[in-house]
Amino acid sequence: MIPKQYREALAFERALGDPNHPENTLSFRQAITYDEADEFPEEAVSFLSALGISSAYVPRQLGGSFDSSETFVAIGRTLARRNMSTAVSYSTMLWSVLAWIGGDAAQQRRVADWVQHYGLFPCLAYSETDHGADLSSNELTARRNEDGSYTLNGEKWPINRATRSGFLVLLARTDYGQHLRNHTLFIIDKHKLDSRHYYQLPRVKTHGLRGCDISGIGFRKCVIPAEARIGQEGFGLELALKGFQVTRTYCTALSLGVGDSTLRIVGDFAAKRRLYGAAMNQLPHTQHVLANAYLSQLMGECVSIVSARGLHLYPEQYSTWSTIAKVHVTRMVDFSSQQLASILGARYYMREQHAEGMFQKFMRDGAIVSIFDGSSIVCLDSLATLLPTLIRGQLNANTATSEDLAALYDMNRPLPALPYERLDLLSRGRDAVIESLPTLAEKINTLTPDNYLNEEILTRLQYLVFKLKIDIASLQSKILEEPPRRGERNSAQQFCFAQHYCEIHAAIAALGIWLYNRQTLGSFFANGMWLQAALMRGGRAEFKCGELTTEIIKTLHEQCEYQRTNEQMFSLLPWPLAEKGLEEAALNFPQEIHHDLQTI
Amino acid sequence: MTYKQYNVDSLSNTLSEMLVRELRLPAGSVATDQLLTQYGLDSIAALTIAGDLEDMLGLELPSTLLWDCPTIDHLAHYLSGVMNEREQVVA
Repeated sequence: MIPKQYREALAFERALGDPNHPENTLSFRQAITYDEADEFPEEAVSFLSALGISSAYVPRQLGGSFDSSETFVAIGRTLARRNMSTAVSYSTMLWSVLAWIGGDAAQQRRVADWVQHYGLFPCLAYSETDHGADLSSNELTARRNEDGSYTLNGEKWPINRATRSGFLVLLARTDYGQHLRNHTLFIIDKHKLDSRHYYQLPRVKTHGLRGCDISGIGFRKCVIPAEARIGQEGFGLELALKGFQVTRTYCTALSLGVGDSTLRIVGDFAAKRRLYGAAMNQLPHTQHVLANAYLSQLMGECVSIVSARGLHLYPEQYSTWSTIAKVHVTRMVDFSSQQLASILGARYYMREQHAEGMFQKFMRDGAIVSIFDGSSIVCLDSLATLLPTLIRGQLNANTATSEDLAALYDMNRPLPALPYERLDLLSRGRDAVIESLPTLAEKINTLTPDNYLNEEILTRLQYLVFKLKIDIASLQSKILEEPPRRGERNSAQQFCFAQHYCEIHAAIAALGIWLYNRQTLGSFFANGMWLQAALMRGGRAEFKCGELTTEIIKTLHEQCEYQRTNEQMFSLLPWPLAEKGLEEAALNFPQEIHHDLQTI
Repeated sequence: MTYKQYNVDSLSNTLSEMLVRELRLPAGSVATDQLLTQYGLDSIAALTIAGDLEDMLGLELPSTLLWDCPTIDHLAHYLSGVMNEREQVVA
């Protein structure tokens, strides 16, 4: 049975209806129509607001419905699998998290109210034309006035929803020095700004996310009130980095949503298409690609679920953990989608017909995840810098208890509220996933075969876990032998270490999820062949023809086909999707309005 | 250790030597009143140095120590304060 924290996402899925039903607001037909017209998905965004989904972004103690990152990620997958333009346009709501992290009680209440009751969207105004990820070099200034207010001068670009936002989460230079306390964070109610002193920069044409409001905003002596400042003056970069620790974790939802749809679109095609006298999905190469893409989706899901759960348990470790989750899940989905494109052949290149031409849209739109919130390169760079510190700590860490691991990996264990105040910029050598390996290895070595798990697979799994231990030990010593040189940029080799570290993280996440949920998720999950495949792949995003045995490919492909034909999410969980032809939920508002009019 | 070992000058020398080594700079080239970011130290590397100082001094320090103390002089003052305070508590 699917754990109860997924119920909200299941209800949301049904409210949105079948994406293949052209009349639904969040259908593929609508998505492609707006995309072709390069228009903002106005109707879809309004529909989501009418469903009240904005409350999912607001913590329960502030009147919203957010209490589990696992739930939040599941809702994100549900939305992203339909239309990334809509998901990305709606999800700027997430930047309200900066208020939960750094705001005082009054600021938090105010932002919660804007989001939940007024449906106001924030935009994240960090980037500047000339500085990219180098935030401490940004030039937009906020000068403090005698009465405590600030005066803004400068421009932010390119910013998602810069024009269509109700409030701004803005990073501004408050000190000219080139040090790390030179920026301050502000949350600014745009409606209260003097229109003579700010201006919008035109929308830029983009490769994917067509129609989205990727624009900018500029200020000329624009005064903002003292109450707009979040946290202390000079603490903006610290808050910004902490915000990314949360949002990067949630980016996995977007990638998994894209991965589900690219695989589903190609799976549907390969089942219908007849080549050389049989269905295309019977061709060995096609099966191999479909099965491997499915495996990537399962591995990505493990990384995503474990990182969502870990955020509630080990928030102080998210300077590295969130980076690993974002970089690696995106990489898995991007690689699989490219391989799937080759199966789709000419239809990959079409902007219509099969699945309304959505595959190419998902490819274009999905590519954004490796670019925004810190690109994969920026993320790997910071991970490479932090790895030696991380590993020295791991080597001295106490072995995790099985109880600690159950809290992290067992999806039926409740999570505590997310303690935003524990986010830290340095994880002090701790990584709960990597540190869990010795205990997980001990646990798998004491397992005995049962009704679901045969001896042969168990023995293989034990061997692969033994190899995984050697793999991480060898990587740890290589990293310590060649630490980054401070004051110099990281070498290509150090990037490679960071990449490999992500792969091992993914393999351990899959192992942990399997060991702690074997009794509850059905026979495919319990028999462990998928885990064997994940461990054989070593957690890597990339796959090659012939890497996995025919038997493994067959098992993976059968489960992928079962979930596709039974309208289930490609997932380790039994996750029902809207059935074929399901219409979206009727919104009651029109009738109510009608009733009100009659009363008048 | 005695109080004298925690004085600002000796800490300043120790920190200068450490940063010269870490940042691969010529000996004596770090000015104690200059911003460390001028020597190529970025935000993330600054965090890792705070971690190293924790190990070296056996103290729990804020991860953003080098953000708040952007020069060796600032750092030495802060650390001598923390260490002498600890010494008094222990005594």
